[in-house]
Amino acid sequence: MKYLAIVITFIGVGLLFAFVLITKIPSMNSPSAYADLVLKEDGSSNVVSAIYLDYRLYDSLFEVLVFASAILGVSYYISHFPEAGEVPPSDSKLFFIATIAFAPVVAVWGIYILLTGHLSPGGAFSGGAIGASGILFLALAIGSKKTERAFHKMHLESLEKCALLALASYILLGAFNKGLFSPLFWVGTPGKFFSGRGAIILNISIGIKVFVGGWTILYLFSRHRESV
Amino acid sequence: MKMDIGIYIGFLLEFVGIIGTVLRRNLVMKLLSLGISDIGVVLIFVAVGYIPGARAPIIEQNMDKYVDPLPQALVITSIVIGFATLSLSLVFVMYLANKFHTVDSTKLEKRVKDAKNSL
Repeated sequence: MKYLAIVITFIGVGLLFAFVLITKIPSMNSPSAYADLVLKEDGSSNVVSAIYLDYRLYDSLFEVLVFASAILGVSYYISHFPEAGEVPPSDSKLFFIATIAFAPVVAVWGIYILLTGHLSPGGAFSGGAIGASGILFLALAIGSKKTERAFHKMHLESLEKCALLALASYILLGAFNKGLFSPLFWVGTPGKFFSGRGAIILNISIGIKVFVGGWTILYLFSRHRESV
Repeated sequence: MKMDIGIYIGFLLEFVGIIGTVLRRNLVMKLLSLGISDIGVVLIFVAVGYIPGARAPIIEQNMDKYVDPLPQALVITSIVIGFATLSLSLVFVMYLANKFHTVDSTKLEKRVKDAKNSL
């Protein structure tokens, strides 16, 4: 039975491999074709960002929706378990100073990567994840209870809903214009900060979504860490 | 089309991941194997779009050779959804382990059957 499974998997992956080997994957003959098109139509320097925030924005929308529903599922099902309590503040002085010094640096770095996603490598998802790890540093230093209270004070949960609303309304605006995202915004001069149509707005809204979602998952798993 | 080593390693990783997902009894190990096959797919995508001697697709002056940006844009989706589904399935594993006190799939099957019969 075990060997049968190995043989079947080997044949299946081999067929996939042969498929990739035989079919001619259409590679770009002139690699600058994308660059010319993006410079004219979108204005971002980062071609990958131009693809997932402009040409394939529906893809990103449903990605964010899958992420949101996964967070909803985590926070619903994890509430059935007994709680282990909050993460206590660090009792080591060295660790406390190191984490509390690093936390703002990492968070600001995440915001920088998030804002310049259309100019350099990075973007909403990586920026949001870096910001969430900065908050994790903060939670290790001062304890998760105080961090969560600060989150509540900043109304980040309602900001997350507003971000999803902004994303949906931006896409609705483009959908009425034959799927061009989005004619109201400027193309700008590539390489400057204000360019790339709605890239800044989209990066901020998706980044807030990923940031709050990542922190929510980290916080819930840390609070139920000894429940199994 | 020239096959480079990234595609070979990607298919190897995918093979290892699927074998682990099918044969391992531990549910957490199954999820880890699923993650390995996920990484294999990402590696294949990036390797397919690679052009020898080309740079990352960030437009700069005096540069005219970029790798294919489309697979990289698709891979972003895969990474984020992999993180989200991994956390959700870990919660389900926690649920099962909390209720039946095991993460072994055969024992789990037996205990679920027993629990059904005792009802």
